[in-house]
Amino acid sequence: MNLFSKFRILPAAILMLGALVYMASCRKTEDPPVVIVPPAIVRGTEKVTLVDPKTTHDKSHSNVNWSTPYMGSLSALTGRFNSFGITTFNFDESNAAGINFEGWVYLNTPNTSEPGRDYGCLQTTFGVDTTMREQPANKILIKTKSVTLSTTDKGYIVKFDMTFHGVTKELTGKMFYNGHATSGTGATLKDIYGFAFDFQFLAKTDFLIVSTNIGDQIDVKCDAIFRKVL
Amino acid sequence: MKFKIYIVLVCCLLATGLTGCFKDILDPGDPDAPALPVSFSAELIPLFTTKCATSGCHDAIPSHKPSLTADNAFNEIKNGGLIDVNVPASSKLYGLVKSGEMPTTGPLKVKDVQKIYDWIRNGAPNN
Repeated sequence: MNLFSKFRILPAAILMLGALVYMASCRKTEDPPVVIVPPAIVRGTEKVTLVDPKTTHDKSHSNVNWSTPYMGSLSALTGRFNSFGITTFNFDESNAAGINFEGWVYLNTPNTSEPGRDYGCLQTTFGVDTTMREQPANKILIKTKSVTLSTTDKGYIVKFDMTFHGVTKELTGKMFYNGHATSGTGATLKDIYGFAFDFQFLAKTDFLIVSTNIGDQIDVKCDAIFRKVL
Repeated sequence: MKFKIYIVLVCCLLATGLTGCFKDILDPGDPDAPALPVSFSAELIPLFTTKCATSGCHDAIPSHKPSLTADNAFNEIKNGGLIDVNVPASSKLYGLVKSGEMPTTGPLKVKDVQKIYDWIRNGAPNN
């Protein structure tokens, strides 16, 4: 009892109180995040390949669209290319290793609905002229290097090489399979498959384009349709 | 006996001290869960202003590009190849803050990194 006399218990009580205050005050906790469970990603088993002679690229319903900020961001300069093609295409909906493609664009076929620009300053900016066709300087080439399944949606993360303006650089884009529809009857019965492929690149920084008008970043949105005769 | 009491007291203090002062590490959740709305002007600009657009860093005439002042941040980020709205996880801006490489004064809070990621995933609007 002598040990717990008020003269001995007091220092201990003060120390304990100090420790409790320390314990209560010295905690840092960030606000808890809002937790949302993403929906499950379900992929089908669709396969599309240009190796199949019954399958063709439907160029007339496909697009290569681009946009870039004009003069900083005063407006968006948008356009497309009239001449483009797909040389190889293989798609396996649930198997990323079975997805690859190659494509090309004729640089001298821009279409911004302003002929004076399309056949004038854009040709100069790209370093081409309207007489060119298969010359390397007139082609943008795209070739996939690897594809992985997106973990956030039904898309596909595509790493690919793009050759443009004499420079080849690896870029990353995202591809989507938009599904398929059946069209026609009898001998014209066919399956139609739709795909989208979006990516961006730095025209000035990475591909050595010189321009005071356009922005550095170019956003590209491609749509591709394939038809398979049944 | 007196010695034993002090031993107990010291042990109590050590136990309290060692367990009392900590930083709670909360489960940040799945960063790829559906993106929440983020206001660039109301949520990200204040973040950039206090953490990035400081003198000698990403200020108006930046020592290090891009300029992340309230007037410049959107255009510099949007047009400078810092974000990729197609593949948000590949965005340079997100990668830098997620890794803690930026800001150099100390990493952002997890919830602030997530705001930047969600803003990109929402299409990087000027909102």
